[in-house]
Amino acid sequence: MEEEQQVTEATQAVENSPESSDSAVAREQRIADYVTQSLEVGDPFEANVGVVNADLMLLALRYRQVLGDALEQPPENLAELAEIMPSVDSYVRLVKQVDRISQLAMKLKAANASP
Amino acid sequence: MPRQEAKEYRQVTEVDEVAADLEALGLGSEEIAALRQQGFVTGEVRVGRVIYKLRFRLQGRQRVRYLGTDADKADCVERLIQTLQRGRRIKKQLRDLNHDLTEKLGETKRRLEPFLDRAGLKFHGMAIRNPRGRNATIAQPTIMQKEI
Repeated sequence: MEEEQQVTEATQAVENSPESSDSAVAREQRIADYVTQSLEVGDPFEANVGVVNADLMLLALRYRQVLGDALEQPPENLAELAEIMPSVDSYVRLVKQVDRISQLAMKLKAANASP
Repeated sequence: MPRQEAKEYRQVTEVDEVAADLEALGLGSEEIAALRQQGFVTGEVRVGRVIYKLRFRLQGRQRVRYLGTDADKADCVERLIQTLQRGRRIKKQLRDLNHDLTEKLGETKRRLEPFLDRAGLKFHGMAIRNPRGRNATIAQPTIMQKEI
């Protein structure tokens, strides 16, 4: 009985945990830091790549939040799922672009760091 | 499974529960259907007291339901309506995000294209490529040999 109560309390603690909103705030802060760091870079190409990438990351974070809300409850029917799927595809496309720009950013950084 | 039984097994969704709660407030199915599309709770000060009203449109005409002076009850109705409009709100948010995505991807190309061009690189769709026969100049010769 006591064990059951502990499990219930633990479950409630997880459900009431503000971790998800804290995590979103922390992510937004890291993206803002990325923008600040990018703007301090001397090479305009590398700086622009950083800023553009940060913008895309912020958009990806918003997608993730809204899609998370949308998929929190199972869709009532296939038509409702079909309405969400194009946005899931868009999110995947966006993440792919963040990956491409991140690779470019890393290569630029390495190139600018080498003598 | 007979049709009637299947109907009974249908999952009761949160929206169904909200609709039941709103019905308990005296709202009809037509009014609840209208609230799914649009509707909100307002607080108006009358003789030093706040009175709450539920406002929505039905068949093109504004409807107002008096909710009383109980702030908790008004808050509860507001939450019920938010739950009822959840699907519609999410669809609008996704529409806005899809619009923003198109704009951002276009902006990405516009901002980076001049730099990529100078570095001997090109956008091919949204991928960044080193066109054949040209040497990328941003770094070591091997840096952009592959598609990014």
